[in-house]
Amino acid sequence: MNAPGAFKAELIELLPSLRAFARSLAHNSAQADDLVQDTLVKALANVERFEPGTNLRAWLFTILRNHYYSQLRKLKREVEDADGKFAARLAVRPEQDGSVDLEDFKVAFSQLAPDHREVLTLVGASGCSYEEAAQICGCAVGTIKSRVNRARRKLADLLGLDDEGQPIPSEGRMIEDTASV
Amino acid sequence: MEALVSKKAPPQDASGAGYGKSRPASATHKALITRNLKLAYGQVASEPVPKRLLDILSTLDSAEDKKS
Repeated sequence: MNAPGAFKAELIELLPSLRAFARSLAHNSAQADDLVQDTLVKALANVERFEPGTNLRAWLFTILRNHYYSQLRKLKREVEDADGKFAARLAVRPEQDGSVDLEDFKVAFSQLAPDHREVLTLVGASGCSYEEAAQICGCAVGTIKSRVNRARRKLADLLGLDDEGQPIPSEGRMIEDTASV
Repeated sequence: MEALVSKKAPPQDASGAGYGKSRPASATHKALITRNLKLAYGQVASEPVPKRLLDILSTLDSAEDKKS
């Protein structure tokens, strides 16, 4: 193990990105911080397993991810839009100015499957390489690349973007959640 | 209820997902999504870290104190 002071300093430095990664998986800040808290407790309990000189960020992200999916399996929690709030929100967007409101983006992002949220966050926001993301997710680099592409397509679809990245006017869009009602 | 018709192309693969290799995300989509991802990520990353999380790390100090 590294010297405790240096190890702790590195942990503190990584906390903001660990929280941001947790927020991309969990659905609220309290749940995300619980996830980070559990991750830290697990990391400290297993600190002797961490090899100095290896990637601490990947190690922590992997612990967090594994814990998240473990909890998800236990709770069998499914993300859904049962009350149609998300569909309604997209349907009533007042202006189409060629940009995407960040809050709308967050809502759309939250509708993605967890494995799509995690790869987009790792590769698109946290600065992980495809190789590092593959290490964290425990899969092949090619799998990460194709998953990222599918996630982007899905997100663009949820945001109602056309091929030029422009929001499609609501009267011409399919509101999938209500189409079968 | 009458369904609204999309102007977008229908899904292309057999699974119905429509996001296969034959239809990669456009550069415009990538840029827009990446920009918003970084904004959302940056918002959280710039928040102050809750004390309860920092307190957990203080156990490293106390463990070291016990050793020495």
